[in-house]
Amino acid sequence: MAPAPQAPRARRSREELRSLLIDAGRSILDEEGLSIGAGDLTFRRVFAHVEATTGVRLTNASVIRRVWQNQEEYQMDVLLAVAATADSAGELAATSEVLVPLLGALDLSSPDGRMWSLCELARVGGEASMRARMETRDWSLWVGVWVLALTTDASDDRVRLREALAGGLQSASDVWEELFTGICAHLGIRVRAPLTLRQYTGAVSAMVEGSALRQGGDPELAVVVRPTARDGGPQEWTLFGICLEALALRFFEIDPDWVPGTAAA
Amino acid sequence: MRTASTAGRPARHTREEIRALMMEAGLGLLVDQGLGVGAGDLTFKKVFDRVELTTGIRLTNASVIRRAWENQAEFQDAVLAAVARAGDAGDESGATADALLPLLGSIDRSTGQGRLRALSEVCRVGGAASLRALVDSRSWALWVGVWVLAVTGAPSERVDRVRQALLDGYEATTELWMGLHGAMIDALGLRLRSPFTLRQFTVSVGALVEGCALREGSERQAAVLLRPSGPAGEPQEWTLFAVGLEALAHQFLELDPDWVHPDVED
Repeated sequence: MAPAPQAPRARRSREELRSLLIDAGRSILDEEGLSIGAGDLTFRRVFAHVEATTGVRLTNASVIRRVWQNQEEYQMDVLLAVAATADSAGELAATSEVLVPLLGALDLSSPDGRMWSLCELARVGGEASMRARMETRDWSLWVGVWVLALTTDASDDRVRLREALAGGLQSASDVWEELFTGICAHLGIRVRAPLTLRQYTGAVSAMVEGSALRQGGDPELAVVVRPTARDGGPQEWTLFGICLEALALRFFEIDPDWVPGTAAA
Repeated sequence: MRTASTAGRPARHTREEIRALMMEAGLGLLVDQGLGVGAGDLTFKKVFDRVELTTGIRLTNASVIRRAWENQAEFQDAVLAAVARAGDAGDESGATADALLPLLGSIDRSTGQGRLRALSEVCRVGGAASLRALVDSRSWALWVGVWVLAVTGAPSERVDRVRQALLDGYEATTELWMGLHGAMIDALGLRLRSPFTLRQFTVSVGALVEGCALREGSERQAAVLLRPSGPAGEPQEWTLFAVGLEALAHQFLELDPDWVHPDVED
């Protein structure tokens, strides 16, 4: 098939040229993806870093065909390690640190008090979670590996990366589910059938991750004041906390069979 | 007596020790300096070939350099900024509107209960369409890649430009969806609960769908669940995103007591 006939050599304006080339560039990126990966992570750089931080001197001979076949295999292993760590370093720890002391101070004296306590945990825990997520770069790297997994041409690499990403999410979900199980037991709430705690965990995690993608700092989203204190007074809420409350109210209900003093988190 | 260390010969580390040292160093370098992300493969040559193939127009470096851009790197940045600014670019909103249009003729707006049921159905059907469109969108995956560059790239004018382009794209997308959500709220006779704003609702929904799309892209389980939400209580398929969307809708919206059915108005 013949290529498109050559157009006459008209002089195009700067704007026309820019438009033409940007459109072409975007369509190429659509087909081929961004160049993304750990290509800058050369053995040379890593050896220098290891020596600077530990005093241990390594060479290609120490590593090649001894630990990894080659540099590419090493780079893939690092990416797989990033993929497997879905929990933004210590987000769970930071959230637990804030929630656990709060558990003892909540109002469990009535169903109304227990539902209010659930909302209070969403408010306080939500803020801690988002802050922890935004303070580290680990999750941003995880997203980078996600992009690579979806856009790389190498199908074997794509499969391995996707498996590692899925594995990382599963492990993180297991741990969060444990925390939420403890909270449910403490508050005397249960998941509304036919929903499951795993689905709640997934929804909350998706909410955190999507919110972190939008960390552009829209000023209207900073803080919302609502009359939600136990006495009807004002409380400060992050938008993320409001969303967590929404999910909690959808997924949970009072457990009519709850006995106070059941094992907590 | 000279020992191995005093003789200047490095201690021999086990395979496992070396692996641990290298993995820790690699992860640390990535955290400090980010993944390599960019449009480095997008050369002028490749782009000129594409332009000639698709339009017949032949361009050379002389056509472009110091005329449209100073150099190739500046062009690559311009393309990244264009990706960042494009945001939703209509794919997701178009797919959602297409899925909802057939629904609008059959919803019951004659009672408050009917309007709330309609809201649930809009969430279920529209939510599934939105999520599918995003998961299948290569443009969105690219956008996320540019986000990674903006967030993890070493500070520079280039990264600042990309960040600003992301914010511009985000604003345009938010405005687009605010229009759609506002129209849906009006059509169903709803209003925002005080003190919430339409922007807060739109941003929350956007965050949830993107988070769900990230998860769906990693583990294609198509988290579909059955709920007895049909008109006669029969089971209907819901995506997890739609369940969350319904939760957000009930959090942010309420029936508007002053709403008048259009038929009554006429």
